[in-house]
Amino acid sequence: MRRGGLAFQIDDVTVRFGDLEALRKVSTSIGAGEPVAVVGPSGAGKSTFLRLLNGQTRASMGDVIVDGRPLSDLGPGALRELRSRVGFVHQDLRLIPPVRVIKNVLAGRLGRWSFLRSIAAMALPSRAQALAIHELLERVGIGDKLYERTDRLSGGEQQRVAIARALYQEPRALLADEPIASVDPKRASAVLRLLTEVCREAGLTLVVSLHDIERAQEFFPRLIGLRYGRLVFDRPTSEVSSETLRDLYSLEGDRQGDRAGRALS
Amino acid sequence: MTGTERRQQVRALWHDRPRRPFWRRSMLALLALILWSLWTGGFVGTDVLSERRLASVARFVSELTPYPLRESGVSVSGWLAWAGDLWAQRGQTAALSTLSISVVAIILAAGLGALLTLGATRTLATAEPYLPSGRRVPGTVCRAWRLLVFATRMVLALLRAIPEYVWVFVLIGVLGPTPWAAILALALHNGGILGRLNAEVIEDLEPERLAALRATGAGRLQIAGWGVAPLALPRLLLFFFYRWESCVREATVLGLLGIVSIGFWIQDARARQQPDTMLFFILVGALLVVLGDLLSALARRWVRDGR
Amino acid sequence: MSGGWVGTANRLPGARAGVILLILTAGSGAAAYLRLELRDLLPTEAGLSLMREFFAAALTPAVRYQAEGVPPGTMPLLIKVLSAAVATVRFAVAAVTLSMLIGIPLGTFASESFWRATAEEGRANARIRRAVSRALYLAARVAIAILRSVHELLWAVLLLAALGFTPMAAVVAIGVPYGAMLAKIFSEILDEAPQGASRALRAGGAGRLQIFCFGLVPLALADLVAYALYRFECAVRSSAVLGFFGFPTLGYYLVAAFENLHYGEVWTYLYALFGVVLFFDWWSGRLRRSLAT
Repeated sequence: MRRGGLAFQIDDVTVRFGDLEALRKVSTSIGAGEPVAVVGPSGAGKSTFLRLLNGQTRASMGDVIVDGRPLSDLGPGALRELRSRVGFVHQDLRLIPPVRVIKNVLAGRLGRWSFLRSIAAMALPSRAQALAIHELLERVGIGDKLYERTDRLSGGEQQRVAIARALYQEPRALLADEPIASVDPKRASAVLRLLTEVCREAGLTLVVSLHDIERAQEFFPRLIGLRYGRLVFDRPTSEVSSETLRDLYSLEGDRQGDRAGRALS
Repeated sequence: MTGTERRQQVRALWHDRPRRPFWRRSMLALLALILWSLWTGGFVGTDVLSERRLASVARFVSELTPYPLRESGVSVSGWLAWAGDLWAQRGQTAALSTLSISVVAIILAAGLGALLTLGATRTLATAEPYLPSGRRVPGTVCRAWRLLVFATRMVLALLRAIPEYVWVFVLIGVLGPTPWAAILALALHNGGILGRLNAEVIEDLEPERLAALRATGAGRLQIAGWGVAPLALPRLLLFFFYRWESCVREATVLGLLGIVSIGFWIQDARARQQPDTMLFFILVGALLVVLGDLLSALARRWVRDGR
Repeated sequence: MSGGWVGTANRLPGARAGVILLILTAGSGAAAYLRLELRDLLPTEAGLSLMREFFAAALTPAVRYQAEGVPPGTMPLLIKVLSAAVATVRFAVAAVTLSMLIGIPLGTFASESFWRATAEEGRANARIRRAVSRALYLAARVAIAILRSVHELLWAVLLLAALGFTPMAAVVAIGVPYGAMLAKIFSEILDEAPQGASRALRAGGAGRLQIFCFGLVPLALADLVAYALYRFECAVRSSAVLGFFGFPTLGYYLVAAFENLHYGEVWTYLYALFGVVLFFDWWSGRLRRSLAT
């Protein structure tokens, strides 16, 4: 597919919301076309990490460098341009409920259309667009829902629509925030398989945040562990020992200490 | 899948897509209605920009300056003195009358609405409200109740379809230009609206608790008074204040027909061709409406949150 | 009577009991101020006979002119009623159209979610942009409050005095306050719509207008249309009343018939208005139900 994946470099990034520190001094890099899972307990900063990568959240300190360009240098136009090349599957899907599926998928490409062009496409999708979207929907397993109203679909089907929307962007990277959090176990593996396969075929960078550690190990060659906003480990899956994982999820014991460490110094 | 196959499949999906025919037809009808009325109504004529009209607009605007100030020049203190005089002479009484009319009217409307609600609520106006005894109710009895509901709802619809302004016009013929004419007009129209809203609220109440009351042997009116009224009261009060807002609004204009409210002095100034005075009373009316909205919002919050 | 039920009544929160007390106090104060007396409710002898005659006519609305010696070639009463009803609808439709032209942009500017969805990111000129959008937002809110607080009939009085008699005056008189009301409701609908879709479009690189048109408007559209149809019903009533100022709607003929003491004809006009209002009531109700499912 097009131009290969995007490479991300996270450079000593701290993110604060008010006096809460969501990420603290995180540094890592993700190569072009690489699939990575971000794991950790809830509240570890996984979502913030993902949102950092396409500039939905700004670093309070440090910077994110995408394809050699620091995000803090990008003006509004360049930022839109970057975002139009990064597919994002939100945990709560964030579809437009009362319109047909085809329009929700079309909406993925708004970032690259002029306003007039987008009006034309949303009002009357061309045949070529309909065919391309049908193909995409078939790829995610719901080809027959092309003209269905989105809010009539089941939760699992809506999630596929969200994935199709992200893919219709023709992205160079795909970010998925807890894509299996509200999916039943049987379907969870199918969703992850779909994401990893699509990205491998097209050479897209794939970053997925996951709560479920076993599935992360099953589908991803590299894991990034976050806990209370700090990077705990970042290594190939084969080198992540079960002790490390136990530490990552180990319970309340050292929470107090972590809390203290997170407080702004 | 080949291209042709996909094309056929997509076409089939399009053909079988879920549709909303009523919505679609409504939108088309609406569009047609709009185009027709603009086309045939002659509203968008160019005559508005004719010299004669522009001159009349200019004269009107120049006459908005209070009469005593036209020679001496406009000053804030001069304007305030003029407005203060008008307020003291007529404005104060008219404003208080307007508010008083709206308050009495909405109370009467609530009473009328409550009365008609009894007949219009399907869950109350039925042979055995909330708790069927299993006895066979004769068909004629059922039909009679249904007829009652239908007739009451028609009366409600008629009451609210006729605007206050028309009711006042008729009632002045009967009663003469007393405040009662305005009060009754507002009460009739708003009683119709409140009756319908009340009925909808009551029909949405959960039937279980009311069935329990019925099981103790309570009659229809007792259920309404001791069961339904307390349960529905908060909603009913909210509607009450919404409608009061609208009563204040309408009360300001009903005076145009000759009853002592703000509208009376607007009409008076209009007849004497005094745009300055007319504008003053229109602004007083607007302030009353704002005041009414504010008080109603406060009262609704009080009902909802208890503060 | 079971104790529980009495209990519910007694447990009325103090605020509600207080509100009712306040209403009744205000009511008796207002009645005293107006020096209302029940005696004045009784119509005079003449009023009484008029009333009897008037309400008796409710059961026998006229289908033919009640006047003697109608000049030949006059259009039949029912045709006249119909054309008056059609004119009433025409004024109402034009007014609601104008109100949408006013209300949709005004309501957009008065909604918080519009400004949130379209806030520009990036740091250039951020402060100036914020100040400008804040000013527009406040201006829209103030405009709505002012335009709304003047009743449509008072707008008509003002416009007739300024413009002289022209059909446009009636349309603008209804359209302006209705536009402000529509703006208020539209801004509330927009603010209540979920924000997820617009955030997702922004994350996908969509521009501000695109976010608004495709991420917010579709969520508000159904409610907006249902409300606009309800306003048709109100506009029909307002436009009928504007007949009192000489516009050829139902009100105009109604006044004439009343003053000629042709009560049967008055009721024919009233029933015609009733029919039109009932139709729009049915339409908006049916549409809302079809959207709910």
